[in-house]
Amino acid sequence: MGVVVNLDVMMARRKVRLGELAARVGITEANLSILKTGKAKAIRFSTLSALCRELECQPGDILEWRFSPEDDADADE
Amino acid sequence: MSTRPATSNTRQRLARVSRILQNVSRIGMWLWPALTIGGWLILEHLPKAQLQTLAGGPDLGIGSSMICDPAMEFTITWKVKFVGMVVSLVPATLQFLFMRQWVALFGLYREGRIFATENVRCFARMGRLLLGLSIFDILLSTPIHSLVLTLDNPPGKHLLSFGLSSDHVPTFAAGIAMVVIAWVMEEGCKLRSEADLVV
Repeated sequence: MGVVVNLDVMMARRKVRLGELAARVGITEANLSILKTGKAKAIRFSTLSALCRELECQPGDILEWRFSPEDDADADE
Repeated sequence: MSTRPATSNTRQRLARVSRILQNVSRIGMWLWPALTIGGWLILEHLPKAQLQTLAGGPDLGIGSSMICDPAMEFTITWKVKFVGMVVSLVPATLQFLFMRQWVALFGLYREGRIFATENVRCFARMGRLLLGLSIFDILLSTPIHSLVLTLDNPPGKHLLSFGLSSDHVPTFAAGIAMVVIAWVMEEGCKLRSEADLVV
């Protein structure tokens, strides 16, 4: 599983819509959707910072690490 | 998603130039085999010197270095013309396919797709076709054409020539360069698609 993005959970808690948050953070709705659906390969510190600012949360509220067998295999190598 | 739009002004210029080049390539695509066929059809009407250097076509595969003997006579019959035409259609077909890739590439540029996987595919195919063309030219073109041109000559007057010319080097080099460019572009496309997923 690796790093899981819990942006949808935070957005639901703050009752904020995708388009509105994208505008406030300063990225496109398409890019925010990529992040929300977990398709993103990386996130910039600036984006993470803006998300934390707008959602009034910590990075750990948005990103979470979960154990996966793949990580275990990587560690063995 | 895979290609970011260029500035509208540059994009319009690119589309305009690509449209022109696409049409030119499209004409060239059909012109090349037509000239090859035409060249063989009027073979006997061409001066002997030209026959010896160019074999009567746009590029029928015979270099001036091939037929050394200026006294060499050619018996041009319909059989010679037909066999020569068929043989020459092999490189002409490769050239046709090469030009078709140009048409496709300029079509992509026209649509504003300048760094997509389709572009990479076009470059890779063009490179392979150029390599095929140069290998045919280097190894087969000269012997086959010399044999065909003297096919109906009397016994003892047949000619089988082998020759290497520096003319073949640029085509071969261009083919290798295009294959390598396609390879690099493929890596670039991968990097770009990864960059698109950085939010």
